[in-house]
Amino acid sequence: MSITLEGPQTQVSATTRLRIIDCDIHPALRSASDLDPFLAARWRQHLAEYGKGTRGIFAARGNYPRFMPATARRDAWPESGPPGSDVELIRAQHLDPHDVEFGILEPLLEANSPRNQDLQAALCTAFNDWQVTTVTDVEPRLRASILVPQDDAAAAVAEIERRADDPRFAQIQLSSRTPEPLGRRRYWPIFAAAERCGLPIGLHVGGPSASAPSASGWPSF
Amino acid sequence: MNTYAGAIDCDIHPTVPEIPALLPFMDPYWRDAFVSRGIDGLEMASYPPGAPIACRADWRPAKGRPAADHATVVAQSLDAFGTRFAILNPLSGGQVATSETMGAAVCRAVNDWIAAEFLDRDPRFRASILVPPQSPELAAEEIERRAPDRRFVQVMIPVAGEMMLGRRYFQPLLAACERHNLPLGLHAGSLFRHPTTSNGWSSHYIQDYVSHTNSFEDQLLSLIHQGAFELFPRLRVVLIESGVSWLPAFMWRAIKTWRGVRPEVPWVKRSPADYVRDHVRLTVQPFDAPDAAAVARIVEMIGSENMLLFSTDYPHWQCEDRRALPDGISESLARKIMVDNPLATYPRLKETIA
Repeated sequence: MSITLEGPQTQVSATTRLRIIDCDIHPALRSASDLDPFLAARWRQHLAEYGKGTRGIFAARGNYPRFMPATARRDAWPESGPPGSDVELIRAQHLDPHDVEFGILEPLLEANSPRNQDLQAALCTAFNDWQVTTVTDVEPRLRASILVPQDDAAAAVAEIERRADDPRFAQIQLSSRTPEPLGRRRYWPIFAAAERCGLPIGLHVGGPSASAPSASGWPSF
Repeated sequence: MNTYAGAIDCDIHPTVPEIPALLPFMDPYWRDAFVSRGIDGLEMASYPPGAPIACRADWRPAKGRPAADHATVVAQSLDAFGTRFAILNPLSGGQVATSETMGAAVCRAVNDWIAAEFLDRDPRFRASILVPPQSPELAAEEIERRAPDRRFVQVMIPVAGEMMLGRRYFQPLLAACERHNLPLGLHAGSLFRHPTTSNGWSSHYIQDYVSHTNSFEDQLLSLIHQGAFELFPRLRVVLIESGVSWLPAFMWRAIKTWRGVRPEVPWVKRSPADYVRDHVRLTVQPFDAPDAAAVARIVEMIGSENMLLFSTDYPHWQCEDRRALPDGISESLARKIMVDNPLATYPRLKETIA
């Protein structure tokens, strides 16, 4: 026997007293060209020719193909574009029915993955501008994460200081797979800037590894 | 007049299509897996599709992928260069995927796709069998499966892998190549299991590309010093898109050091240079030398006229117009590079000559 679920088992209501702060929501570009207005011509051409140039094994996708398209719920796909690319759908599907007071964006867009450190800085700045222009200004309940070029502490600090007084940013985001373990002193200037600005650091799972993802080498799956 | 009429082009690259075009060549499990999981875009990081090296400007179509179908490849490569045979060396993410079973499934599909879309459509095409270097056993299975088709003349993997090729782990792959008298082609490119240089990750693609020659040196040293050519005396290795001009200096250093401290590797019975000259071949694009005088000197220093194989590396951007063979090569050597050496290296080519 099979049961067909028509919708969520529990009733969702917009009138709960205890409201929610969702600390992990993933925005996406509708298409790669959405980022163009935030990038200098030099970097647009570089991306067209070389792509992001990460430590990943494929030219333009993650190392480990997921078990579902875009790692997303089937019902999260908008009419056009990938899941997370339609603010209206995020609002209608999630923020409104679950009475979310604030949602913090965790862009997983490989901004801090390029091996080219100048491209890394340009992409972080571009994605930070993109988050506030196309997402948080359209839906103020959503707050952005400051993406920083984590391979270059001085550039990361500059990006943090550029955004620190902007209330649309709620935290600094780092990859959980930095090229070296995060306690190494090369990252301390980033921690000092975070403390100075009163911003937490969010570590999100994923990103291409600088070395094998396990201490015994590469998992197959 | 076409200088290369009748030449055997030992390295051309048809572009492997997106996954949907490969689904007909997959078994039901993988067909379902690729569709339901939405997996596509498996191009190797070593060859970003938009990079200048990936396609010469006059071969790049206004829309879509270069060298994507047999008609384009015939017109731009075989007919333009007057090629007698051309060996198709497709580059595919199947050879770098973390999952050895998924990698094997993609390699199988690409091999069957090449047979249907290229080999069946023009008798001048030959192809390399793509095998998954992630698993030497699965690689050997794929060689067994495709070897009966005599239009497959070589086995191919990317040069930079997860472990060095001379390790015993790879013996099933080397044994299968030798058993079927198929050369093992090592093509420039990496599985990206390790940083692209021995000092870590370079910042730019230009560094990745130039430093491929280090990977070729590393793998030759591994094969020689682990005794692979003693264990597999009929094994031949073709270095594809490796560059050529680094070879003499490498051989000199390898010989000098071996002479000094060879008791460390007593199973290495002959000079490294002898193994290289007997077992190793190189395609000539890119050659990496400035002028005719330098090319002539390098050929002389290599000390063998049997090692170089004609290639255009189409559609990769290595040469302009139809100048695929560098200046500085005598007429008689050119004949060897274009015809005799490929025929000697790929025994299956001879079978089809009347």
